[in-house]
Amino acid sequence: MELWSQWDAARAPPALSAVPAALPDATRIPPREWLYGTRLVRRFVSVLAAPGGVGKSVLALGQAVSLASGRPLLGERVHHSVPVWVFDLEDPLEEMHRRLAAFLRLHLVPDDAVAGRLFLHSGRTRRLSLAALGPDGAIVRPDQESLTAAALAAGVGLIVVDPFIKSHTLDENSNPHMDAAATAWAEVAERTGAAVLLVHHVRKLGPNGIADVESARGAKALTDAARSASLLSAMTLEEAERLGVAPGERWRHVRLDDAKANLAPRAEIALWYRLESVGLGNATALYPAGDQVAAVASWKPASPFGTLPPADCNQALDAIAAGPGEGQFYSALRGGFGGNERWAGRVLLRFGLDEAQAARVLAAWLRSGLLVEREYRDPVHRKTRRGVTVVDAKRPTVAAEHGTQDDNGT
Amino acid sequence: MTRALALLARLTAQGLLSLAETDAALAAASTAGDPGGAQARRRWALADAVAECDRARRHAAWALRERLAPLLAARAPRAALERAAADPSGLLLPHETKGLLERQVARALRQWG
Repeated sequence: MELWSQWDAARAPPALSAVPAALPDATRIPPREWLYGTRLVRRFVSVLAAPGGVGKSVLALGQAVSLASGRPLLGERVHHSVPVWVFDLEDPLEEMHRRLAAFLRLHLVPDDAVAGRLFLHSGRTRRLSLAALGPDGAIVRPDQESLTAAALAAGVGLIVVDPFIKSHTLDENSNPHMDAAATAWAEVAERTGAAVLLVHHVRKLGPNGIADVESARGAKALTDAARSASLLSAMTLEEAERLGVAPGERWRHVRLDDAKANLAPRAEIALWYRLESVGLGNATALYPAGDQVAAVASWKPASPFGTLPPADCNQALDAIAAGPGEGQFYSALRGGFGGNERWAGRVLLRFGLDEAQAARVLAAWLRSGLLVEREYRDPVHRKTRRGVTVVDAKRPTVAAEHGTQDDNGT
Repeated sequence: MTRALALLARLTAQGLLSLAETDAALAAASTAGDPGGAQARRRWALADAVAECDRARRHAAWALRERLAPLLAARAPRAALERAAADPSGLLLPHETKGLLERQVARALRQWG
C-alpha cells in the first residue's frame, strides 16, 4: 500500500485500556545498588556541578580512587569497591597522572591499591562522542556501542566523565538536546550496570555567591535527568569568618551540597573539603622545584567548643541564666541597649574564648535551642527588651565530659 | 567575496556542487600564481563555511523532526504534515524535506505495528 494511504488508514488511534499493576512483594524487590555514599548508584547518572576552578576534577578523581581502592578517603562510605574508568576530556594523560599521583601521595595510598582497577582516558588522545547530530538531523551516538562493550569487558562499575560538555556535540542550550545527551549516558549506565558521574560546569552563582542546581550551565534537562546532583562551591567570605578560616586560606576550602537527591533523603549538612598542594618530587635540572599539584582531602571546621569543656559550658550557662542583674537577661546581639556589656558572649570571654569564638558558641547554642531568645520586662528601666534564657533540658550532660561535643557542647 | 563564499559553501553543503568544482572555481578566479597565499586562505575559509553550513543544515533537519514529532504522535492529516515539513531557512532542499517527512511517517507506522 502506498505510504500516505497507510498513513490515512492508521490515523484512527487504538482504544486505551487500563491494565492493573502487578505489584511484587516489597521484600523481594532488590535494594538499590549504592556504590558511594548516596551520590553514586549503579545504573543511574549522577551530576557533580561546580563553577570553574573550584576543584571539581580533583574531587571527581578522589571519588574515583576511593571507589577503586575501596577506601573511604574523602569521608563518604564506599559501599562496594568497583573498577573505575575516568574520562578527562580536557587534559592530557600526563596531567591526569599528576593529579592521581598527588591524591595517592596525600592519602598514603600505595599504587597497587588501584592497579588494574583504575582506567584513565584523555580526550587529547581520542575524542569521545556519545551524542551528535547525524546528517539528517537525527541524534546519533557514535561511541556508545564501543564504550559499552569496553566497559563491560573491563567490569567497570563507575564511569566518570569530565566534563560532560566534551562528551557530545549537541546544543547545550536546548533542552531536547541535553536530554538526549544525558539519555545516551543513562543508556550506558543501564547496559553496563555502572554508575555514571557527569562533571558539569556551573555558569553563574546563585544568591550570596553560592551555586545552586538552577545555575548548572546550559539546559536544565541534564540535572533533571540525573538521579543525584551535587554542587561544589568555594567558601564564601561569610563562611570563612564563621568557621575561623584565614582569608588567605579561604580559596582552599570548598563545600559539597546535595542539589538533588531523587533516591535518598538530602544530607542536612554540607561536606567540606580542603585543596592541598602536593609536591610530586619530580624535580629536573630545568625545573628544580618540580610540580605542586592540587589534591583534595575531607575537612571539618574546628569545633567552637574546642577549648570549652562541658563543665565550663555549664558554668557559662549558669552565668548567662543569672543575667547581668536582678530580673534582667543577657542579649544575643552585640551593641544595642547596654552595648557589649549586655552581650551574652561577654560571659564566655571569661573562659578564655575570644570574641569570634564566643559568637560562634552563642550561635550554635541558639541554633540548637539550648538558648532561646524571648521578650521580658526590664524591672530597672521599665522597658520591654529581648534577652536569652537557658533551656536546662538541653544542657551538656556530665556523661559528655569524656565524649565528643556537638552543637550544644555535649 | 564573502557572499560568494557563503553561496558556494551552501551549494557545496547541499550537494549541488562538489568540493573539487568549488576548488576549480576558486582557482579560475585567482590571478596567476598565489604569492600572498590568498587562494589558500580562501580555500580554508570555504572549508570552514562548508562545515558551518553543514552543521546548520543538520540543526535545521533536527528542528524539522522536532516539529513533526508531535504532529505524528497526534496522527495529523497529510496536509498538516506537509505544511510543517517546509524548511523556512532554505538550507534543506525540497526533495530533502520531502524525504525526511516520508521517513518519519514510515517510522511512525512501523512503531504502531
